[in-house]
Amino acid sequence: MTRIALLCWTAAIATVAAAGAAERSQPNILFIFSDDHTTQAVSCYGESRKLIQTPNIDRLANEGMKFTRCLVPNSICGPSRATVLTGKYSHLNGFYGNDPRRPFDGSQTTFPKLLQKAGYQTAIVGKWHLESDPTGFDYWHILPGQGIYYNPPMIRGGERVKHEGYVTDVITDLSIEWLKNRDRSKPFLLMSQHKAPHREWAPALRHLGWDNDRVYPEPETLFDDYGNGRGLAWRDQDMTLAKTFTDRDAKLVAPPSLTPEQRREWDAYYEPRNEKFRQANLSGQDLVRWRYQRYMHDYLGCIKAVDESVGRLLKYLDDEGLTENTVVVYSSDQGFFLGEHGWFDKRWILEESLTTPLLVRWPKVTRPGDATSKLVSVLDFAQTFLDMAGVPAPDDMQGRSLVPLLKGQTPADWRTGFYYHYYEFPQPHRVRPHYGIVTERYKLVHYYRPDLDEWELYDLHVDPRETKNFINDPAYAATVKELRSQLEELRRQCKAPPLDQVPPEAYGAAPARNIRQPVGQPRATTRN
Amino acid sequence: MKWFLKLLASVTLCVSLLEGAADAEAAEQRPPNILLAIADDWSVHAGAYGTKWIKTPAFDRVAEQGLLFTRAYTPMAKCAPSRAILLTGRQLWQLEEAANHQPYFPAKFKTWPEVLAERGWHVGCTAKGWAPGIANDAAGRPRRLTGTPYNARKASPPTPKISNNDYAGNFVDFLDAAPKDAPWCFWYGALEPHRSYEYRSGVEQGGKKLADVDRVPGYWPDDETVRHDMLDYAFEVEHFDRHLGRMIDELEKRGLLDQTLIIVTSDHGMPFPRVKGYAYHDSNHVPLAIRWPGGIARSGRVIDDFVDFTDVAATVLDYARIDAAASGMQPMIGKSWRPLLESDTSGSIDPNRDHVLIGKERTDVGRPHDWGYPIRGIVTRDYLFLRNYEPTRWPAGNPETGYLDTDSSPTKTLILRQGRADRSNLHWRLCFGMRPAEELYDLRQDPDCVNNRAGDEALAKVKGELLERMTGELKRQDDPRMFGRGDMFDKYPSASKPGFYDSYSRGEKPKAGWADPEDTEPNPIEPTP
Repeated sequence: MTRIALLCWTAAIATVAAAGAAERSQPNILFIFSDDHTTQAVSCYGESRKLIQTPNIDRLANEGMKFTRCLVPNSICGPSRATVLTGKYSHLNGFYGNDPRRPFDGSQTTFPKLLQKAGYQTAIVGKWHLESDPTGFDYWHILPGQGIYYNPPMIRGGERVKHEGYVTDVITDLSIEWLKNRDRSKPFLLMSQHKAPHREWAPALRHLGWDNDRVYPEPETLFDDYGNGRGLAWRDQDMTLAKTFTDRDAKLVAPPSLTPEQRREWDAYYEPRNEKFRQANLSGQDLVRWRYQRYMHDYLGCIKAVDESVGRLLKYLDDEGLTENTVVVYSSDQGFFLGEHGWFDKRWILEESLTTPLLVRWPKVTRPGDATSKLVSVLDFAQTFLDMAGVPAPDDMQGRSLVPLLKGQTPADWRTGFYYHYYEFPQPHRVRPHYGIVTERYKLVHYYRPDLDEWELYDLHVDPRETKNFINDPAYAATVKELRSQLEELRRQCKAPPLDQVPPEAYGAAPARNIRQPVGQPRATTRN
Repeated sequence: MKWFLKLLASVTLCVSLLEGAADAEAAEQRPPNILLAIADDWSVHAGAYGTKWIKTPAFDRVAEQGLLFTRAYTPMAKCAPSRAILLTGRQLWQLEEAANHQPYFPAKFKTWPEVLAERGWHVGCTAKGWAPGIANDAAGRPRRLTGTPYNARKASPPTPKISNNDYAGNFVDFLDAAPKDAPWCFWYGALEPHRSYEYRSGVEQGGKKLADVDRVPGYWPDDETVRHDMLDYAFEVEHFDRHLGRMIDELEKRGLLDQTLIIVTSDHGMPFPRVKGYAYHDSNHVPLAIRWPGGIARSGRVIDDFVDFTDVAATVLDYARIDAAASGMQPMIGKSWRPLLESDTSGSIDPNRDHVLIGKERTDVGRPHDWGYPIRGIVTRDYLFLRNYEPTRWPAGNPETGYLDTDSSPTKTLILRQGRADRSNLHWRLCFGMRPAEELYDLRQDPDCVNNRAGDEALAKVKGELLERMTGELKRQDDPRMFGRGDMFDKYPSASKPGFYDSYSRGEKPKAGWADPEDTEPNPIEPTP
């Protein structure tokens, strides 16, 4: 008896000591990362359509810090995720587009590996989408590829497992389960990464009809004519509600993975409304309007479950007394168009897809309710987490720790320009490869291949919706000149290769065929 | 031309004086004095309307010796916007910031009491005028939207929750201060039956019995707590009515009664869940009685025409013989009630008065980012149709901040407790749950508006017609919400507790005087309708 008591006592002291040590130096890190969750659909970002209330995600803004311009270097899923892990641009981490034939090179240095080495217990649950197996994690339990919404199969440490239920709930359950079973003597890094609200935006069955048939305000640019000097890239994309939106997107066709019982619930919501739609026989702008409304119900319905997930995770931290010593980060791999310019999807250097939510709660460090509009990026995450854990970051990481900003200090030399580069073309949405510089006010963009060579300038102060190209406006000549030189300087600093040295595979799985080549333009040749 | 009219007027006056008679013709030449009695949160409960559990002899006298309106409405069932409509003659959606509760009242909207004061009338008020909110002129000086306040006289109130303002005493002071040669206008803005109430005062002080309440509306549980709450409300209504009675007696004593246009009403329905601050029939339906022997053709009539508060300004200016266009007021939409007063028939008089429009923008804060709960609706003889523009928001305010858009009360707390025990509880859902985008009620069978038939195929045509009629009128009235600019109402700053929800969410525990901490929900709620 005495021996047992003594043993318990010793164990207790050890636990307390470990917890004490962790509290002093290494906070836990809970990283909640969703897919395509745009700031227009996070209520604390205050977009004028007021599309949704996200009280749990907002809690992080209220209790922590809100970044209003967190930018992504390449606005699609895989590349953004690779950047988060490596702290590097696509051209250095090698992951340019969502190409299943070119998996992420998991042998490179990533921040989870470094945290693991520094004594952290590391886990990733949910969406991974980098094709190769995760490295640097004590536990991984991921969706294969994009994953599916209902009853998703997953891969746990290499072994395929089946799950029943809605993907966001499954990921949340698994995340909490891992937290419960973790080694409590170590600080933890948990990356809880959602599939939602990725296309095809399928909400939890309990959230069908969540909006009580609200009629959503339309964005000003729903019927954008792509005029005002904007070029081919705008006119020749394939991501519109008018032309690209499929029956599956519209929920006129149910997903195949529903059980018969789930299917009944699905039909009970969608069928009467679909029937009304079929009878109305809409076309033209009316059809776009209907699709926009359906899209909002579904996309935002997905957010409902994500917000609940955040609530559950925060509650777990509260209940376990972990809140004080856990940094909680909410972000997404990129923004998304919610009808702006008539679009869904992402990819562009434009605000909707370039900006992603970033909320960080770090008790006793961040001032509750603080906010900053400094240019930050998912590129900065790796160095930030390492800094929080007191682990030195490798010199070749390309971001910058956000810790000073989180402490309420702004370094005098904080970046004023940000380099962006998108590659994937033509599949799946015919968005022309482009790169450019983003500043607080301007964007100078070069759409450069395979069949165009066009520069555009956007001025957010004058034209916040980005519907005008000012590149040929003489009043902007000096600005353009200045931005061009800044862009070249940024490319140099970022070690961006000359355009003709970008590997052709960077542009995607399906080669560009039958695309008229611009006359007399030096370009990277399309092999294949 | 003007000189001719003046001459004519003087001659007429001389002749009248010579005749030494205050005959009808001469009375018509002089504008009546005006006594506007407006209770705070009083539903259509009065003896004249057949209510047995509230005694309102003064109101009943006004109705009996004047006119009783059975279909009088405020377009907006919350204090500040309702009063703003009454004072400006403009619709809710034409009032910019003043469409909100607790707003900064725009300097450009002049009120009719201000106009009367400019024209030499003796204009005064007691207790609650336009409120709550801040009303300054363009130079930042406080305005008197309802006249000079007379609040000096105090009396010991029947319960500690009733105001100690001696309203009738202050009216005497006002009359004493009135110049002999000028007409006067007095705003009796009682603070009853606004919350809070002394619990059980209706029974213990008013001598009422729980069984006196003949019917508890279908949206509340028929429970002892609720019945007490209703009787406590009744007791406060009677306080309002007693002072009105004293004012009428005072006028009679001074020989002024028949030269006074008395209008008795309330700003909106009772401060109970699903009534005040909502847009159901009981929310916007108000008592209205008017007495003025000099201007009413046949007294004792009961009028079924639809009238609303936008008409009050036009009526007052009409009787005061002030051209609205020259008044300095912004263009008004209401129409004078003179034809109704001068008609000699009961029931329906003007076939155009067959409906009213109602609505709501931001009332009490308590939703994220001070968002409101925008509604537009139309009430006809048979139906009430509502369009809820933001059905993903909580109509009574967010649960986690205690449904602040509903005043705290024993009835509220009771229903919230029942909802906490069972989220399918009908009363909880009706009073505090989320609403669909459209609501349609058949008032003939369902005056409580508890059976939403918006999805009923049999009424699809009716619904379509109501929607079309409503949106057509709103467009003609330049409602910003019809042109995609509805969010302007959410953007105006609140003059009281701005950012309440967000501050609360940050853990700052801001105080709201009208809230009961017990009413905040400890756990998240699945917001299905």
